[in-house]
Amino acid sequence: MQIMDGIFVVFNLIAIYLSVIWIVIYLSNKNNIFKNPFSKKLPSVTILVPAFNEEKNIEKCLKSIKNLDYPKNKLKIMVVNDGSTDKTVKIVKKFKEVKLINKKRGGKASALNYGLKFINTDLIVCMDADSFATRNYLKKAVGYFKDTKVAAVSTAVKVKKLSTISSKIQWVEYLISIVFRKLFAILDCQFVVPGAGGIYRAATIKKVGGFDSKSLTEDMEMALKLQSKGYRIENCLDGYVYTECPKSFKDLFKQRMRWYRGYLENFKKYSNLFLNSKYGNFGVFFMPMTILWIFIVVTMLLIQIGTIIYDSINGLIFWSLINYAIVWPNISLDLFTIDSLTLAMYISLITGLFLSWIGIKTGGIHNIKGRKFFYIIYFLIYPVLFSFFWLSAIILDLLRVKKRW
Amino acid sequence: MVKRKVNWRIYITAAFITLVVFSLGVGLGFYISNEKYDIIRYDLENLQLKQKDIELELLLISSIGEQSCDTLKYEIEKTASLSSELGEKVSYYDKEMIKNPEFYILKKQYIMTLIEFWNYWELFKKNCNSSVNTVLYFYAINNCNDCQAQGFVLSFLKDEYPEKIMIFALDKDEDLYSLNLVKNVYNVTKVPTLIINNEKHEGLKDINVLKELLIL
Repeated sequence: MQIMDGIFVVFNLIAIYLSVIWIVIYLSNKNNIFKNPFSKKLPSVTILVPAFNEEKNIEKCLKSIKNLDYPKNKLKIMVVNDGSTDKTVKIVKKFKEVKLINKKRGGKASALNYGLKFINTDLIVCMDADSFATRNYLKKAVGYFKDTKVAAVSTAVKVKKLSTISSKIQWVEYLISIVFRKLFAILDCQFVVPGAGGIYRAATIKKVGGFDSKSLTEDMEMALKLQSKGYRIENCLDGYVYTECPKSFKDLFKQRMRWYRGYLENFKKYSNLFLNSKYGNFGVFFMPMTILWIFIVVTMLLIQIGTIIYDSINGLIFWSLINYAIVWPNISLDLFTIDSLTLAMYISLITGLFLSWIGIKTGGIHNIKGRKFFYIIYFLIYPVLFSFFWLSAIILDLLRVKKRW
Repeated sequence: MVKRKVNWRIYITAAFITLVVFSLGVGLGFYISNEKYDIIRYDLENLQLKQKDIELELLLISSIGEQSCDTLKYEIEKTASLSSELGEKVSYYDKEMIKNPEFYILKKQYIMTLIEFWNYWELFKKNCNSSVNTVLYFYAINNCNDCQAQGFVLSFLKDEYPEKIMIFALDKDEDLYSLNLVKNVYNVTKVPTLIINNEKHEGLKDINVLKELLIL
């Protein structure tokens, strides 16, 4: 048991340290995270919507793009139909200003690459068909491209429909990620530009050879590629784009298997950045931290599962010794039932919660109220769910189960 | 490619804060642990005082020949409940990671008190014709899953027959002359071992076996 206690202490220490790092970065940048650089001369933009059987969502998506507060002569809209078999094409044709390009089915990355060939604007926005932008998001975000080193700007992604438990949990998850993306950007460590409104410098994307159509997560692959080539990825904290999320836990599992296995795949591909000070914080801090964090999360889950199994078997044996008589557990909260070490360890929980609170406060500036229930289920379910997904992703990878989109 | 920045200052600042916060946490742990230690010490002194009192009473009974078994029974039982409360505290504290370094002395004192107390019970049983069962229970803290099970069964039984059973839980691995003497007398080599009314029983015993061995 003493080894376990030791592991527990070390893990908690690391968890506290990581939380404190993010809190320090947040507090020292608190006053300017919402300030976006303003550019007088707006760059020309093509909004690229890759679509495969999106008849349900694409209309809303295109409408939101049409409504964007951006000069019409600088905004082009392009839908790449990736071999849809439903009414997607018919719906898109209703929008006169939208350029429609048809191609054979080849996946999202191939659709993006195909569309890239027709683009002659300064910037390109990847807009998933199941997302929709808020009116002023683009104008807020394009200023970052004044810095010529900036190759991409990520947005603040929020979940829209909240009908199921799974989507409520994701609502909080996305909310907290919003501030994290900014903090990552401050350290030059953004590892993904989400397809919900992510903005790229078109010339740079073309120069690095476009998206990798073999990757499970082409958006993460692109971000790591840009990081490895010394470009910067910025974040616009209040450029809100709404997106759909998996409604059932089963669909969420499928999505996360793709994401997290994509993570592992990309980390392997760009392992030369690992601990390499040439790549700044990304190599020295972000990559080791992520690997360490995944390791901790998965180990803790395994220890928990092991403990639960051991305790239940033991409990059953103990119970059989007293002829399965009913015993009321005597829960008393005097000083002696509280392990002083465990109490000290709650610090990591407190720092973690504080960090989450910063995330909720910053990301949910407009709609934080009336959703206390969401936070409760989030904090109860998410940690276990997240660890479980990571464990599953690692197991699937070890078993070499075929990767799929 | 331009060499990129590493914000060492942030990492060092965070490390420093973490260290401070963690030390505060550990400090709090030590403080609570010390509070518990003080409680145990106080309870132990209280118990020892009561026990001395009973000892004196037993001495008086045997010399003067006064028969006041009912009062004695009441007193000795009250002391017993003090003793078992203290026992729980000691075993909780024993499992903790942060302990007062002087706890091992306290634990030895506690075991000695317990053996002494067991001895009074035996004397009481002899002098007052009591049918209370005395159970000496030898356990080990580490690597003894059966001990945990035995402890669980015993405390369940004690809850069921609070007035008929007296349990004295002794850590077999403590090094004390008095404890060694008891161990030698009953030839205790394994854990868990139960000495029920002066008879040795080795190994884990479930509730059915125990109910047969005890006079209930």
